[in-house]
Amino acid sequence: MNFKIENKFLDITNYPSIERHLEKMASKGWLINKIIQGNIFIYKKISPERLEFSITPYEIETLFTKKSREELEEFNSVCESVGWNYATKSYDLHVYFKKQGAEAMDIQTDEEEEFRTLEFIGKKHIRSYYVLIPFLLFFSWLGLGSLFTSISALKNGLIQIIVPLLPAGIILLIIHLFNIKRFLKINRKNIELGKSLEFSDSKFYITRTIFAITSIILFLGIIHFLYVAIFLKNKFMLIGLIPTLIGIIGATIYRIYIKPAKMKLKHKKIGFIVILVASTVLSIVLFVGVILNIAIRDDNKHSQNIDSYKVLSINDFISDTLEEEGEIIELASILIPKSYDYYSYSRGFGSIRTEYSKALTEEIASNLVDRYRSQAENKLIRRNSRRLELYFEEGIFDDYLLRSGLTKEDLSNLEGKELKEAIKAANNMINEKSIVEDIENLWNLDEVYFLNIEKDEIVIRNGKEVFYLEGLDFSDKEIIKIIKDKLNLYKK
Amino acid sequence: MDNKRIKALTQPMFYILLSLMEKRHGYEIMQYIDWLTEGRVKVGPGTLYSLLSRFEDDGYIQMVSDENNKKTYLISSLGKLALDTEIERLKLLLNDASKVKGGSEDEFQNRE
Repeated sequence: MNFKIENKFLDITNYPSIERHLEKMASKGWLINKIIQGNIFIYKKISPERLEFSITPYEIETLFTKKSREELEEFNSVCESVGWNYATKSYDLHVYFKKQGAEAMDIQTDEEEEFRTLEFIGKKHIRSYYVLIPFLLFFSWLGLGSLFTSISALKNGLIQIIVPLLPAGIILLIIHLFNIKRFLKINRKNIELGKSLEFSDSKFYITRTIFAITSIILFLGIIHFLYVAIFLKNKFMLIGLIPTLIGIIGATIYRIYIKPAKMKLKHKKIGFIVILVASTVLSIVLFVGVILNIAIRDDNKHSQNIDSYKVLSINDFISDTLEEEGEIIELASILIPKSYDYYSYSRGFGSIRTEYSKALTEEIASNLVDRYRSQAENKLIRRNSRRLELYFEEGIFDDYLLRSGLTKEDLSNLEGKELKEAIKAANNMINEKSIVEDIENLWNLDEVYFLNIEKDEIVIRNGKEVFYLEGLDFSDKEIIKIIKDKLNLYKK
Repeated sequence: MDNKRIKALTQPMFYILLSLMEKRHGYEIMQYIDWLTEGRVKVGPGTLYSLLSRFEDDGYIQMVSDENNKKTYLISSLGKLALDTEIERLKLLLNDASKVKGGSEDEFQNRE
């Protein structure tokens, strides 16, 4: 092999120890060629040589400024003029080398100035971490919460892959933040006292391990994304990518054209805000536009053959054949390797929804059933809470409550209670009446729950398979027979 | 302009500003300092370019041309002010040192 990859760690706190490491690698015949994300070191094969390395801080980029290619080339050419060859760079750290013993001027000749540059770079990192950490904490809280409760978290592999990355990212940032703060504090004092700069000799095992795991998971996430988008033809995955793509394009335009431009800082700040606002507006407009376009256009009428899918079609329940609109949306995840949704719609009939999932184990399938039940509970609470509030506060009884299974008598028994407690108790009564098991054993399957009082929403588990159906009277024996035959819902 | 940022000039700051009394580009500045100090003071490219960026941001120097990947700079009036202030400070230091060397201890003891 002509190249070698290593998981190391380089930042402003430890570059002298990395210089020594690079020297050792060169003596073994490996010259550093690229450093990715400060962690992935790529070497190219050379004949073993005794080389000396110099890593030097030279700030390239801030939020509003960036050194142009010409400026970096000038810096490199001056370094070369004083005897150093350019190898690579990692963010603001530039790596140079020369033959051992060859004459060359030091790239950094003043420790106080070197520290000023390091302090500037360090503070830039710290500021960005102060923004990133709360941001990641918020998304971790959202993501981890949904991982244990939401249906999509069980079905969508990308959520299962990405969400555990968020706490890992927070740990990495916090470790890094403390390292930099400690480094700056120690060396601020050293400079004041006229001492030399002190750098870390740590091997950064924790950082390197977390980074390696994170990179692998991220790679798997990309593979998974491509699998779902390309092989399962889930266009919603691609649509979801629109805001990210626009964000990347906006940021790239800003980095290439505005940051290095010779203009006043004030104008660069205006440019930053304009691009930020334009990207956000464009993302929203395009995202909503594409979704609406998919929703209203006609060319998805039966473009897929649904025979190979376990889904219900309007035509399963009528003698004529109606023109039907619908589309299979497929997903895959580790816990639920196969799942798809189908929404069958016809203007003359209405709609039937099927959500099919095949879980890895019966326990996961059962957990999915629980999540459907709790989703139905929340839906009923959202639907009825305002009506209940109106009843308890103003005595207005909405007939909708009657249709939810509540009578005026039921509610009058709760009238003495506090408003919140009364609403909660009433919601519990609705849920108890609406979300019920199939006690008559109409379906004769492992788990069956009706999810509303009209019994037109149902969740069914047969072994590892879970079906969520909506749009028919699922207590009707004739309909049950058609569905069981169509979906092959017989105990295994 | 951030006048507070540079209080007393460090040695490389002083020599860079001094060398920019005439228009010069990066490598030329290094060579000039080497010549001026007869090799006593070396300013490496890392130190030089970090300082040039900072001086430019603070208005102590200005870029006068940018040709063939070589930016040429010249000291500004603010830079001249900083340099003159530093020279005055150094003169005072030297003066104080001369006093001590010239036997000012007796003067101090008999100051009453």
